[in-house]
Amino acid sequence: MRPYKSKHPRSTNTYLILGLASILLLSACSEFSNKRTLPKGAPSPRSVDSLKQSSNTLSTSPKINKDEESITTSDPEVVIAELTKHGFNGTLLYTSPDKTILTRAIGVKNAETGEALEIGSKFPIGSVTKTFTSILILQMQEQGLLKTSDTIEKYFPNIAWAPKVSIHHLLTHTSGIYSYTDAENFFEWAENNPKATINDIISLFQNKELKFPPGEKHDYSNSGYILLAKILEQLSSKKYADLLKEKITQPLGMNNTFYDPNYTPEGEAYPHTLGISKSGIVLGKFYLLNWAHAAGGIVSTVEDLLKLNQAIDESTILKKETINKMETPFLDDYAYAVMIREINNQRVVWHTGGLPYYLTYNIRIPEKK
Amino acid sequence: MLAHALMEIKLKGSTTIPKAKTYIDVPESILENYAGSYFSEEISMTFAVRSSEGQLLAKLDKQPELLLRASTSTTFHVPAVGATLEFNTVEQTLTLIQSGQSIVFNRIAPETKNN
Repeated sequence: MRPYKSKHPRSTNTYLILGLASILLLSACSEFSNKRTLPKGAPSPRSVDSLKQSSNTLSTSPKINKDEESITTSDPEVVIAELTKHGFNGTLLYTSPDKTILTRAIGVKNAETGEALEIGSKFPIGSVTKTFTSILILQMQEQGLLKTSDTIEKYFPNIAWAPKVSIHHLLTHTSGIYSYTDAENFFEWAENNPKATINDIISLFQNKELKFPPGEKHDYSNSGYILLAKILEQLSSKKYADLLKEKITQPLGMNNTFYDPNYTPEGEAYPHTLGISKSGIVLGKFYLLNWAHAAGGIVSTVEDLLKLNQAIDESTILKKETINKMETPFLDDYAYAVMIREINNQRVVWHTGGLPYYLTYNIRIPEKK
Repeated sequence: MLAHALMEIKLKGSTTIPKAKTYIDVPESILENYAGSYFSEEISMTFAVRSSEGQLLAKLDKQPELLLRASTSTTFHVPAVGATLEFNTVEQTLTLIQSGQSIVFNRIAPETKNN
């Protein structure tokens, strides 16, 4: 943990970015073990809904409540200090227009070596990757190379349902395409196929029937974002990783953000899980990121994700009208790789990213104009 | 929880979070008194409790074994899941308190150390 010296004076909105190397909430662990559908990206709407029901009580100092089991506070520092005791292991960056800037690196990169996390520690960010993929697609739309209303048969002439599915459907998880990560024993496949390519991943779902007519409902599908990556690669004649670098990370100076299917966490944040040790956590299994690709394979830091959020707010990565479209929810509050919710008349824009033993939150609360 | 709490401060002005417990070390001789199996007729599940290297560990049926943290010599916690376990060596019970519910488990195993 170290104090933060502001490098981000142009924070006009609120950003909250967390990368967690270990998931110490059993509910999160249970989600992993029960659903098999990693990386699920969208957070449960219920978690945000509960904010609407929470106390409106304002307090200027922390108050230990009558039950002595809880504290009510308006101070982010108190929250961080208290919840750190509950076992948070990760990095946090929180900025607000009122000049509040908090960063924390809490815990260890590796429970076996005890090496401390740093604010610049890299984490696989799971489905927050989808926001990058969405931006790349929308940049191509701005260049006139595609329209989100286009159906995808010209990119996938051998897929039977391609004429019914549009890029918009893929971006909004309304295509009805079977999500390849839902397969029984999917992680056995991932472990046994460390060299699997984007084409290998597509072969896992291209012959499956659509689950429902495209556009009918929201059904989270990692497959859609794999197809989006393939479209990007076809139109640019470049690999997704190279396009990401050329169009987003390099222009924004996000020097610690990349997609590398051979990435391993040496020197960075390892995966952890609950276990029997003095610290209460032990190393979890690390899976190569090739299976997640454009649906969840990017590695980044909280500082780099702040740069992305600022670039979205300042319309330097996309035109303002494109960002407005990107943040217009279609079904179930999901837009183009961001969730949108109005709470207390404030707009919240976010996405989460879950991988085995990693969890990322990227939350942006634009100021009212 | 951390993300939710910070977002709540931003959106609602304040947040209410669980207060972290202060944990203590309990002598191994006392921990050994708690080792054994406890069964709940109410939910038909068994807690297997053991002590190891000054720590108390508990396993509910086939769930992963969890490290218990003591706030008193008889009250232990699983912080990650918000559960509290209270041992009563007179009644030979273990009470699980979670989400406002209490479930009593009665000691069944013969291998207890204090018999």
